[in-house]
This record gives sequence, C-alpha cells and structure tokens, in this order.
Amino acid sequence: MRLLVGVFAALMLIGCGKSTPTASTPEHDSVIRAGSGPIAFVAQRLAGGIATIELPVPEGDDPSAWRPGFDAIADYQASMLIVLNGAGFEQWADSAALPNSRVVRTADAAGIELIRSTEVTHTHGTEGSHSHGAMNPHTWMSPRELSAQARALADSLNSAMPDQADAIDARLEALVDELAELSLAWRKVDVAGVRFVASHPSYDYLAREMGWEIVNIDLPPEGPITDDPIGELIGVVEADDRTVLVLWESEPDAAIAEQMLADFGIHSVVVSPAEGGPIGAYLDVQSANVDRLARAVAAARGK
Amino acid sequence: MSGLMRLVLLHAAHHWVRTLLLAAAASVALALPIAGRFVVDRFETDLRERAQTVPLVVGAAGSRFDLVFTSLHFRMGAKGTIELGEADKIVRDRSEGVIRAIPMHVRFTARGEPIAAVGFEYFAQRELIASTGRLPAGLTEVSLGARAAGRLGLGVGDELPSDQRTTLDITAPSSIVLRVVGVLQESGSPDDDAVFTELSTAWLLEGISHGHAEAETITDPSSVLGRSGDAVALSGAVPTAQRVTDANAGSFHLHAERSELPITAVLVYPPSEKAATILAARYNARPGTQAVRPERVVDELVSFVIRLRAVFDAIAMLLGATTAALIALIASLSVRIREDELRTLADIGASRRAVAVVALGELLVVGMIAASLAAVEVAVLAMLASTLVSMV
Repeated sequence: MRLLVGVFAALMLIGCGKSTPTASTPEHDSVIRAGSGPIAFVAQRLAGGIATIELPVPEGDDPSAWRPGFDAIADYQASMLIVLNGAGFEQWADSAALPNSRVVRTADAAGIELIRSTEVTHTHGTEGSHSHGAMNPHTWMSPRELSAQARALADSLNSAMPDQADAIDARLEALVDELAELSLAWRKVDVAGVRFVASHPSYDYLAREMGWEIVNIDLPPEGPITDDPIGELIGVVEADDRTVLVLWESEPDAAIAEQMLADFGIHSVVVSPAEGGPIGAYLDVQSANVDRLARAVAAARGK
Repeated sequence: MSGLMRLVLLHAAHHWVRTLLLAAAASVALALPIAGRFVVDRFETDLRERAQTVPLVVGAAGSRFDLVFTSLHFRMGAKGTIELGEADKIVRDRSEGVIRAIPMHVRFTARGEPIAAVGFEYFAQRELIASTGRLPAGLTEVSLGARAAGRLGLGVGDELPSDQRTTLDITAPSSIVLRVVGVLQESGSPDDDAVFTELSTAWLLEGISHGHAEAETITDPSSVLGRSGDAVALSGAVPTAQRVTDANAGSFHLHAERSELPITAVLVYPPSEKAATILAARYNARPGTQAVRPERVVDELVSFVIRLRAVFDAIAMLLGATTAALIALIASLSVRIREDELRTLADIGASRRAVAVVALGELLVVGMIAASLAAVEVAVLAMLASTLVSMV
C-alpha cells in the first residue's frame, strides 16, 4: 500500500509539473540604428555621445531600395531604438520583423501632412487606389519637416533615456535653430524667373516649404531619356516664359545636360537628397545644394 | 496471513475474471470524478495563467471570447480586423508612460496549424527562444512551436504551404510557401501549437501584398489593362509569386498604406492600471473596436465551467451509487451461490465471524484492487491533464 501511495504521489508531481522557459531573450543593446542618412544625422545630433548611432545601410546604397540581410535585421532587432524616416521610405522595414515599440517612424510620428506622389509605377485593375509608393517619403528635404521629425525623435529618445532628457532637449533646440538657418538659406535663393523641373520627386516638401512651383518628370541622370519625358519637358518649356532648371539627384550624363541646354535652353543643377551616409553629412550636403542652386539660378537667368 | 484470508484470496484468484471486472468497474466509478476535477482544475489554471500574461487586448468589436481565444490561444474565432495604425498610436501615446503594444494577425492556417503573425516583441514578451534555427525575420519565414513542429514533422530548411481559406473562390489569394527557419523551445503553452511568422507574411496571405514581374516588362495582353506615360494598369490575371526567393524578393510590394494594414488584435502591456483603464475606455467608446481584459473574460468563462462541473459531479455521484448497488447485488448473488460452501464451513465448526469473513472478504479484495487501479488511473489522467487540455 505504501508503495502504491508513493507511486501515486510521484505520478501526481510529474502530472502537475509545467515546463517553463529556461532562458530569456535579451531585449536590446544600447545602439540607436537608423534607416537613412538624414534621420541618422538627427539622431547623431540629439543623442551622439549619449548613445552609439549607427547607419547599417552601406554607403552608396539607396536606403529606400536597400534590402538588409538577416544579420542586418538581427542588428536592427537588437537596437535600443530603430530610427526610420517613415512615410514608406525604408521599404524593407515593411517586411522585416522589428520590435514595434522600439521603432520610431519619425515622419509618421511627427504627423507630417504627406504629399501623394505623382510617380505611380503601376496599378492593378481599375481601382485607382491600388497603387504602391503613393506617398512621397522625401520629407527630410524640407528643414521645417525635418525639425518636426527631430522633435518626434526627441520624444522617443526622452522616453528611452529619461535621465538624458534635459541634454536631449537642449540639443534639439540647437538642431532646430540650425535647420531654421538652413531654411533661411534656401529661402534666400531668388528663384524668380525660373521654373523648376525635378528629375525625381525628391523636392516636393522643400518646394512646399519654400512656396516653389515644381514639376516632377522622371528623368534618369545616366540616360537614356525616352520620348515621353522629353515630350513632357518640351511641354513645360513651351508653356512657360521662365527659364527651366532641372534639379537632378546626381550628376546627369554630360551629353544629356549639354543637349538639353543647347536644344531647349534647359539648365541643370544637382540637388542631392543626401539619403545615405555618412551620418553627419546632412547639413554640409544641404549647404552645398543651396550654393549650387543659387549659382544655377543665377546662371539660368543670365546674371 | 490467516487461513481465512488465504481462503478469500484463493477464491478471488480462482474467479479472477469476475474479480478484475468488478474491480475495474469500481475503479472507474471512483477515479472519474477525481480525475475529472484534476482536468477541469488544470483547464482553469492554464486559462487563468495564460490570461494573466496579457493585461489588455484591443481588437475589432464582436465576441470578447473570440478575441481573447484567438489572440491568446490561436483559435480561429475572431473575424474582424483593426488597422495596424492602432498599435502605432498606442505605442506613441506616452501620456501615461511607455506602453508595449504587440500587433498580431491570426486568420490563416498551414496544414491545419494556426499561423500566428506577430510583432517581433512577442517572442521577448513570452520568453520564446529557438531551440534550433532562429526566429522569423522576414517575408514568409516561419518558426514552429515545439508541438506543431512535432505534428508537422518539419524542421529548419523545410517548406510549409499555407492552407487556402476557400477552395470555391478562384479569385482568393493562392497558397503561399512558407520557409521554416526555426523551431521554438517548448514552453508548455499554446505557443507550442502555433506557426509563428512576421506580420508582413499575413498581409501576403491576405492578398494585400504580392510579388510579380516588373509591370513595365509584362506584355501579355490579358494581364495589362492599359498603359500611360507613368503608369501601367495590370489586371488580376497577372501571375503572382507563391514562393519568396532571393531573385524575386525585391518584387514584393504592399497595396495599402502601412497604417491601414489589417491585424486581428493588439496585445497591450500598459505601465499602470490607470493607463490600462484609460486605453480600455478609449477603445470601448469607439465604434468598431473593443478592449478586453483577458483575465476578466476567462473569469466569466470559468464561472460557466464551474456550473458545469457541479452537474458533472452530480452525474459522477449517481454513477458511483449505481456501481455500488451493482456490486452489492453481485455480492449478494455470490453469497447465495456459495450457500452450500458457507453452510459446510459452519457445519465443520467455523464461527459466524469466520463465515462472514469468507463470504464478504471477496468484497474487500475487490475494493482494494479497485482503489489501487483508481489511484493509477487518477495519476495517469492528472499527468495527461495538460495534454488533454491543450487538445480541447
């Protein structure tokens, strides 16, 4: 009988036992990882020295088209914060497993009124709403919008590092002042008498802030340029008395630029969107953009 | 051992079939109510423990039971969806402190096993780690719960086709091939029975995202409705990829704004009771959404179970009484059959007590065997309680 009771008790103990996880997953390291150059710049300005800021996108790669491998995704997963531009810019982030509460999509968090892109790759069926890449994500080109993104990021940084809130707030104000100066520099460019054409819809937010009128026509800098966009470009030239200035993301093929100038009087200037790294380059790139634009506008007007 | 007891045991052994049948019948009558109570208690405990792990679940308006059991136990009950933007809004609202909000989507199955598309933080929150391979990181990657992996007979590197929700609708998205990248360590919870993946895979299964050849390169007239300078309108006849490969991974794209993508629930971990109350009030006041506290929903369910248990207890008592009556009847018949034998015992000088021991000793033997069998039955059922509950 004693044996029976013992067996019964042992079986009961086994039956009532419940396996529990023996190891916990370490949640994150102390690195802030960004998804694009401009937002990495903002993170660097706000939290550089307090936390490590990394931009895993290889220099020279387009952050919107980059596809991280598993190691890069694992790095992002381990981040203290994942700082993205948002507005659909980092397309890889839509299909990667990321920790939701540590992802800051700054353009979305800032509540920026997004501009619907006119560049629609394709639709399915007759439903117009079935388009992708419909929102223009180039918010950082506008200093005003980037300031709003910086404020949204500062909120997240303050929540993640509450003991550093005062330092982050002070840095935020300094950054906002710098961006206000950049905005002023853009505004000082006298664009009267010039009609802007963007070779890629990267400048809509900048144009909105500055009150510029801009037309987006898909023109690959490396060429060749097909008949349809050339036709559109000629349409713009013929419809407007102003000198047409094409804004290129990168240096256009010299032959194309020369031919456009010679045949149609269309001027060209490179206004880099500064999408990638290095991390701290944003203000320098934008200052150079302002200088180039000022010179190009002056040249276009024949001054 | 006295001679009388030896006589009793020899008699029981001689009629061993009858003895064992009686003992087995009695043991079942004894064990069932006790084992039933163990199983129900384990059911309640498991439900409560699981419910206590999530303070708040936000989802579409509808059955609160469906919402909780879909979100916590991966039962395919909840039909409605809310937008992913709700999870983002909860995370962004820091008025009451940092809130963890884990979006999830549970509407599909793969070879009958539920596909739980979850935000990455789910794994850390539940302390789920991979025993082999790794956690899912991208489109169509899945990690299998331990029991699901066993049932499916799959491991890292294998492929698992998703089930089509309907075979009658030819316009519904086709089955997608899922890639097993990991098997999770057993956790003793419903997580062991799920196929975990990233949320983007759920939207692929929904048909909201897909991959196909570059629109500009498609020339089949049945696939192209029209072209303009900057757009190509494709028809639904465009063949879409059923398997994500390195070659076509870049062609997969969403046909909705991120904030509008459907999820079935958000598991919410507020920093305080006040934050939970504010959130629950906000979502319960809004048409089309609800926020429920799983613990309360389970309490409600368990109160039904307790009422049912009283009915089962009464049935078990009735069964026990019937079995006892039957054994008593059999014992009295046995005494009548053995009347000559007992009279002989009395004639050769056995006392009345000795005759009674011989007559009723058989009942004692049956009782002892029945008790032992019942103990083993209860122990085995208690040991299997978790498994039985997980099968419910």
